[in-house]
Amino acid sequence: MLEDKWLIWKFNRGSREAFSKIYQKYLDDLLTLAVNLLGDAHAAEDVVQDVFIRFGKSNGGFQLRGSLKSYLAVCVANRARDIYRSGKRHQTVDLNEAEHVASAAADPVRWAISNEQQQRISRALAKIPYEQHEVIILHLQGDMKFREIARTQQTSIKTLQSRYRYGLDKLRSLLNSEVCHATKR
Amino acid sequence: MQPKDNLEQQIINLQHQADAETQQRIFSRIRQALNEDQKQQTAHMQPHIWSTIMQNRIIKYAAAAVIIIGVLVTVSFLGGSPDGAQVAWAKVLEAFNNVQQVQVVSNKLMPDGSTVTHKFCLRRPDCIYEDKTNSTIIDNGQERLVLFKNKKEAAFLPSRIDRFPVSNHTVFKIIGLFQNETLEGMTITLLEDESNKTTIVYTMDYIRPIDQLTWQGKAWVDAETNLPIKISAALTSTPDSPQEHLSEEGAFSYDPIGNDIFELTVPEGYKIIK
Repeated sequence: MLEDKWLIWKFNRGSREAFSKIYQKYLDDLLTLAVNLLGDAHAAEDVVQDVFIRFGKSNGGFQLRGSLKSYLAVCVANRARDIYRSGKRHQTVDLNEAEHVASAAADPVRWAISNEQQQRISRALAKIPYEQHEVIILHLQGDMKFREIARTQQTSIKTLQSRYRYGLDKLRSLLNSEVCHATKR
Repeated sequence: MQPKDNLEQQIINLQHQADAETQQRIFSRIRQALNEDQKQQTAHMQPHIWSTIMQNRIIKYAAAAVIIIGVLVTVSFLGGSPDGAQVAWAKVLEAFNNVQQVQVVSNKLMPDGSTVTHKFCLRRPDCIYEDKTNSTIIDNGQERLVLFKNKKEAAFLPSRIDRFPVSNHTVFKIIGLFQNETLEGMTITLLEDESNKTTIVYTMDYIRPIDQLTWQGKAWVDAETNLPIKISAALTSTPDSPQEHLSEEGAFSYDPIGNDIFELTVPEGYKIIK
């Protein structure tokens, strides 16, 4: 936390090292967030790039309230939501395919979805409503409390908690039905 | 916080990592976009700047200087690569790890209005000198000399460095607070308005866990190394003990300390009791 304040202080005074350090420190977290929100490695790269460009432009007058990671995570979520709504994602998500595409295209993001179960979860995540998908990812991967997400989305905490709960229930049911389906086959 | 179930944990585990090439590629695009933005801003400002320059000779030179500084700042800000990032916070941590010796002179304001001065000289790995109101302690890692000032008595005792290493001394703990180490009850906030290019100012709010006594202070630290130069603090609650000092100001120095201060020499007039 103190490191971030120090980096922001330097960044506001034009330090390229500070900007680079922030980039390096949070790139993987933000890519993870964007990939898991959009299920598309290329779109995720674009989102993270846009967020850092906007952040870079704020140099000199950036004011940090709370955690820098949460701030950047919210920016990624907002940008990803715009892309989702405008339908600019490359596909609705077939992670097996996305992974294949990713590795074929000089591995733009190294997919660390190490086992089949994780691939199934990613596929299932893409099938639940986006609002539920988003709150699950922001809470679990963005380390954001419901209170923080509620503040940034101007939604009540109860609504978000319901979305989270329903989302997880739906995920479980999707994963179970996949298992049943596979067993029958 | 509720424990995460298996599904939640598996979602947390869905991690993605950018390889070096991806990192560099995205960074290059960001840099290019920021450079273009900067160029557009400069172009947009030009007619206005030019008309101002034409009107007044003094402004002409001032504006030229502003433009040069602006260009230098832009080049400095946008010219980097992710590799350059290693020097930022790493430099701070390195500076802390490289601190081999520190001297602190601390002045405390007592409830009766008097001021007492404490001096600490610490040198890693095994030398401590503490000069307090009633006693002086010198420990060289082999032996410990305690001088009782009131009674003019001296005692040679076994060293305590093996049990209480110099690096764990409160002074090093305080320095560590500005290098991402934490202390229960301590909140540190950067004060933008009071900081400048060479010195960063932080506020320090402390609630002592043992008795909930509260302190509020300020720290002036070196902007490059984040090493504290001066810390001042004052009590903000009423202490149970009448001996508790009301405020304190400490000056830090990282200059080399001579060996003589750590020599176990009994001053003249002292009686050796042990």
